[in-house]
Amino acid sequence: LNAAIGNRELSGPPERIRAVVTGMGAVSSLGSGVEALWAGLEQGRTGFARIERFPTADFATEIGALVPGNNRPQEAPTRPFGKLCAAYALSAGREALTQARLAGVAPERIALVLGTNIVFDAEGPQELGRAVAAELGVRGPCVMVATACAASTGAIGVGLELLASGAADVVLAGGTDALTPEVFAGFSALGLLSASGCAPFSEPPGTTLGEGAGVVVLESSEQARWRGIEPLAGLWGYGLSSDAFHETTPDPSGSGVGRVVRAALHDAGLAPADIGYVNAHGTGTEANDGAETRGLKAVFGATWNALPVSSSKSFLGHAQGAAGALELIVSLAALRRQRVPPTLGFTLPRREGPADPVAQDTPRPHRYRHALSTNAAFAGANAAVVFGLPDCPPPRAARGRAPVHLLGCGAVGPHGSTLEELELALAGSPRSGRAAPFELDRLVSTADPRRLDPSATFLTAAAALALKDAGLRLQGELRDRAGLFVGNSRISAATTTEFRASIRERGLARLSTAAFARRVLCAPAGSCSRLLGLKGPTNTLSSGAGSGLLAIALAARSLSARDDADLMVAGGFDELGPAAEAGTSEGAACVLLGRSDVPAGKAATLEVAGVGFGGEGGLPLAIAAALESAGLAREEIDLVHGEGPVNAESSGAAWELIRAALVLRRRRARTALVVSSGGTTSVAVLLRGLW
Amino acid sequence: VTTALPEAPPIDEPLKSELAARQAVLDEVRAMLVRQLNIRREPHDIDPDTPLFGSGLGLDSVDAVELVVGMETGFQVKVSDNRAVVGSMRTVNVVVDFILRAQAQR
Repeated sequence: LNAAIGNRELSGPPERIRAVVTGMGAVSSLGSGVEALWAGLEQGRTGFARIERFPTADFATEIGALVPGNNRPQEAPTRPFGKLCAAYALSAGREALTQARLAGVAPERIALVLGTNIVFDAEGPQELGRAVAAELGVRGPCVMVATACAASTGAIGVGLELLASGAADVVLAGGTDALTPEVFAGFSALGLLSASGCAPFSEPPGTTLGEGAGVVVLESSEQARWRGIEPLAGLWGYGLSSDAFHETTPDPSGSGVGRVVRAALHDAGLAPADIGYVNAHGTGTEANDGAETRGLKAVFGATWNALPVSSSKSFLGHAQGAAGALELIVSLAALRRQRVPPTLGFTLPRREGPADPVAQDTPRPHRYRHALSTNAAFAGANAAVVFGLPDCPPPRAARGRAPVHLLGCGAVGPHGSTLEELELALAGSPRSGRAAPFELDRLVSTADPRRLDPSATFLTAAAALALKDAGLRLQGELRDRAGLFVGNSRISAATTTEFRASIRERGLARLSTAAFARRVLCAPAGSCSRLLGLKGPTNTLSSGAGSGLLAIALAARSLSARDDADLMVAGGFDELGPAAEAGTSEGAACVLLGRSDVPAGKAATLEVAGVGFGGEGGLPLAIAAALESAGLAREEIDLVHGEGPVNAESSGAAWELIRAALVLRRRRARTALVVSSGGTTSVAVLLRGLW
Repeated sequence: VTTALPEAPPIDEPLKSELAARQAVLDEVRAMLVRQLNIRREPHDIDPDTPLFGSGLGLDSVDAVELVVGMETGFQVKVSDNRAVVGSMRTVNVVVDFILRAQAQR
């Protein structure tokens, strides 16, 4: 580690950069490539077809939006779908890289951030990221964003953050997904599929599931100019929010959509009136389209009646984890041509909907500079991006970076569920194995454990304990500005067991919808947000080992550099399956972070002085960046925490951070460096005592 | 002074057995709700007129399939996949009615 710390080749991170898009790649039901995608739009052609990949006789519809050439019967479940996901991502990634002409950029300085919905029973989604990164020659940070149907929009947000923090010079960001029979069956059982093909905002309601991949190349406008590359568009900002409402149904008031759109506009430095087009999530379902209409209408107010709002799902279907990236690409292609994409198949307006849904077959000419694309997901995760013509960036005041305080720690695990038990356990050699039993309703009185799996219970308990440790109760507006970033690479083992049993015993058409709703990696974060009222930015991130520390580092980075949250709960959790490895542990470890300018429950004693990111094997770069951002030299570090005594994939490094924080609180040391290098992203977090 | 209360009319045997059958189904439905849908109440604490969805027992769209499966496996009746049918089952009593009717038609 000492040798690693000695490597300080990075210069200071360029703050407040303007990001531009210099490459795009797409695979969708309209074919392979961005040209095919745009051609489909110009021809007014949907990618909908009868699904041949798997039998559909027992379901509400036989229509899907599958990638042409891949709509063939498939045998074994899951693994081949992972291969399809990788193939789509590779194809889109290569197209984007070719357009961006990246020769000369060091592979260590290129990051990959991908959203996906695909879940594997045996491994985390980071394996998909790892494989795609290797094929594309990416050796910088590799992060999977797992916020279900908002994942690829969220991935663009994480990409912008990595770029702005100096963790990468180029980011490939987007998403990929393949349509599986299980996802199809789940949507069918929930009554969300349209029999006739998705027609957003129009009668009849219902969605059509799709698949594909979308990838964009992001870099700073300065770098693009220096490289002599003409930017395709500017990416001015992003937003995240949580509905904190329900597992599958959006908050009908649309307030979650409102929060995410306002956050993205604020980040971009634009007013609602500056936006000339909105690409809506527009799944076509009654619940989504209604909530989204209400949320958008509240934000756009006076300009609503003249604002074109369309949904590209009328062409592409709902490509799940790839939806946001594909919709961004559609929007960018349209913006460059000064057109707006239409909502195809719009026949009879519903009671509520956009004033101008662009109800026609082909793109419409329209003069505008800036646009917005928004997505919403199961578990209440929302994400939005704001972009525009590259040569007219919005004026934006340079924002200072606020110091971020560590206000509280909370954990549940084999040791128990109190801070005293935790400190005792971490001071010695903590027990491994299953979490000690505890009653969630003693911590969170509103918790109805009816549909909570152990993962959600662990996370919620640790988050509640961190808030309690900080002496904070979240009420009123504080909730809107309190976020949750979570590292998680696996679906709850209990949920997987319940899900598999329901399919085995009742058949795919009668699968347990309750278990299906929890078969997204962000489900525990959704439950935690709902139970604790964390309505601010939400994210679920996977990098394998150390995902929890990655979530903490990104939360600290966001709090410091952005203006959409005052408080952030961050951490990781693990749930052991029936065949758990000896020596491994389950439980959750969370911290509460807060901006220094926000009054806390108690006086803060610790700060997150710096964070750094690197690729797999890139720990030296991560540590150098953390030291740099903290303004500390390696000689000033008292403690270094790497692999600790708690052997837990996602939460292990978060446990270490808490261990370090507790030592610092006792004033036995003043600075501690906590690192993780086991996953697809290396992370370094520097803690410093405020005395 | 005592006033003799008028005597209640005698319950005839068919009505008696119908009520008993209804009570048996009601008990089973309550048990099914607790078992299949993890309702956190004692079965006898579930009021037959309490709404299933929303404010009552708190069921929602995610529970609809479980409700159908619970009815089909527990009572050997066929429930349509049509969500309007499931949505029309407002209370525990309506579920009981549905099951009794379906069983009578068998």
